[in-house]
Amino acid sequence: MRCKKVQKWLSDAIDGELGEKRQEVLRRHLEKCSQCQFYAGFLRKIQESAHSWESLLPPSEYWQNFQSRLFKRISYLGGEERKHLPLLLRWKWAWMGAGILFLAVLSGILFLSSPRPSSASYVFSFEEAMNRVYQKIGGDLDLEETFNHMVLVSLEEEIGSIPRESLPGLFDDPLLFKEWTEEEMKIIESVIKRETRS
Amino acid sequence: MDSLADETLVDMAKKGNLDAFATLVKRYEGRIYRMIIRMTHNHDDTDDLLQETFLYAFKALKDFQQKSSFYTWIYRIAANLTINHLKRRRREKGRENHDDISSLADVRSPALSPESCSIKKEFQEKLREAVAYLPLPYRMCFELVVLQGMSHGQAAQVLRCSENTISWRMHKIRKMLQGQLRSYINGVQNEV
Repeated sequence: MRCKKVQKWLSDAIDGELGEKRQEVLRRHLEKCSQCQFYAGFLRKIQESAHSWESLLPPSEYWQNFQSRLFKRISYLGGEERKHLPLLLRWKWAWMGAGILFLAVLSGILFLSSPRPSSASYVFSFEEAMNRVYQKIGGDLDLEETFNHMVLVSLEEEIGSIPRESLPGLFDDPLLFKEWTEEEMKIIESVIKRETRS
Repeated sequence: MDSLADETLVDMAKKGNLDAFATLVKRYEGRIYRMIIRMTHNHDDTDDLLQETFLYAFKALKDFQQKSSFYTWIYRIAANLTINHLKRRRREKGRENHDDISSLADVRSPALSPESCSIKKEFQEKLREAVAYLPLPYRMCFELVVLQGMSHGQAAQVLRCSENTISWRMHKIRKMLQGQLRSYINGVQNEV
């Protein structure tokens, strides 16, 4: 067996890393080879010498001081980590609150500035519609009479044969809508709604 | 707490138990101190590196999945920090291949004096010098396997290489030491 290979095996053997079969082969080689025997002795000497180096440990007081210094640094770690965080992450709770506030304000603005439903949907607010009509009429008596007549015709069509006596005041002076009851107002509103759709 | 296994202490430390971490520190501080000082030959640097090792370990503990043992993990941290420190020091000093071991006198036992040097002691001294002249990865390998008593597998985990690499490095280290200590070998062999 070649000595180069044996010397590699010797290195493994001294570290306790050589398998049993190879150890047997090694042992038989060393019985015959003085050069490898010499090398084996040298390796053993290195091991012994290295193991007898001074322990190099400091006195025991060093360790007490070491641990207290170490744990002091560990206790600062949370603050240090925060210091090294970017501003954005350091004030994360403030940023989150600001974000929520911004969204709330934005939602409010969007809600308040959202367009009103088209006037078509509000035409069914009868009181408002009547107010607009009177503004347009502006005291023109002929126009007033024409409007009254149109309202009455519509009502008669819808109400049918409801006796006039059951709706006092309605057919006499429908413009006095402020004296109308809730039910009367609803009837008129439904008529106008239908007329508007058609 | 001293009787608990490393794995249990690590789990406890991950949950914020500082006493558990303190136990781990106490368990390994001596060994790691010895490893670092044999590489740096300087108490102050060793103290700094030892602190940094455990501080780094504390911060990284939450990510430590215990795929390797805590033992090899903490050594890996210490080895990396030490090697980086030595590389930085060499760049600053402009040295090529070796570190100044004259400061080793500061850390030697006071009982050792030139007058009382026998051949054995002289061999020991020369061996120390020869190891200091080894390239950094080899020095660390020698430290872990010969001085710390690690197996090739454990040293491979620390140095993040294969067992085969460790095996060949150790063989090469011994060959290099043989070359450097050739003149002392005969004297040593005779004394044996």
